[in-house]
Amino acid sequence: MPSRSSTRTTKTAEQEEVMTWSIAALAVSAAFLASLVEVVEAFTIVLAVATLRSWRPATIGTSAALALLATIVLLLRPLLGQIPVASLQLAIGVLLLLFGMGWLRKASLWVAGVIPLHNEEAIYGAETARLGTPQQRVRRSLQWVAGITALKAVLLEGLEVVFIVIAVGAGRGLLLPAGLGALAACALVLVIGAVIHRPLSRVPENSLKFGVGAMLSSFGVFWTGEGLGISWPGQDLALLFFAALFLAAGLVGSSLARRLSMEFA
Amino acid sequence: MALLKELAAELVGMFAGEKRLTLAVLAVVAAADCWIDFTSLNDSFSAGQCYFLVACCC
Repeated sequence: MPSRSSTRTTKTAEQEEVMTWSIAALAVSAAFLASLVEVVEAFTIVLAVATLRSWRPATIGTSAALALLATIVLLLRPLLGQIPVASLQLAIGVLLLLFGMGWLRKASLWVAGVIPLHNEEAIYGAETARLGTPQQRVRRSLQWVAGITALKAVLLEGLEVVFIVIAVGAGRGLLLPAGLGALAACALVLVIGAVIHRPLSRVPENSLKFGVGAMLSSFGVFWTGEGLGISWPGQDLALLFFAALFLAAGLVGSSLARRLSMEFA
Repeated sequence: MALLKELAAELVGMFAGEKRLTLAVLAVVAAADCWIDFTSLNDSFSAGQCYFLVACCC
């Protein structure tokens, strides 16, 4: 009987070669939808900065954040290649479980009405108030505050996008398709944002977070299992089963939370 | 400096924002690893897999 470590080594060598369409499609969809949510959030803040101050600090802050993100990606890429695939799958799987289940939990509580819905218009209003009154806007020092605000928003949301792309793509050499999915989401938000010049409040972020939370959690279970040496029945198709299971669990959880909140209200 | 602190807090919050959830997930993964090692059933759909999957959904 082969030892566990040898089983892992054999499996990872095979896994690196195999790229099935089912997992690629899921990875691209998860990266696209998750990035859509993150980019909409960053766009709202950048738009608030641009509207209240000017496009200059917004553009400088955004460009600086994108440059920082590009540096992080360039530094991470060779590092990822050094890590054995099984260890990478295990680490990423656990992180994805933590991240995805956090999203799913929050989305379930939103659906149940236990916590208030994420609202881009409200965030835009809060950011507008924070950036000051019209009289204050002319002060030069506040241009820096505006630039830093844009930088912080793009950097924080961008880091989440980078993590999601690595998490859904690195386990099977799908970084490029997952990255393209994320870039497509960025392009879509930028095009729509450039046309309407308003916060993208009609994007169903809460529903998207529910679905994406289930998808990321299913990737988390899948990668963690593979990292532990489990061979899932149905191979990559098990991901679809996990996603359906997490969706169902989220719906049941939100229904229970709604009932409990009504009882205690 | 404040930006770096905020960045670090955000990164930690991404994975460990909800302490109970974080501890539960880590406990389930650790238990699944022990179970798989104990039963040595790496190549088939074992009780460990069922346990891992069900526990994650719970």
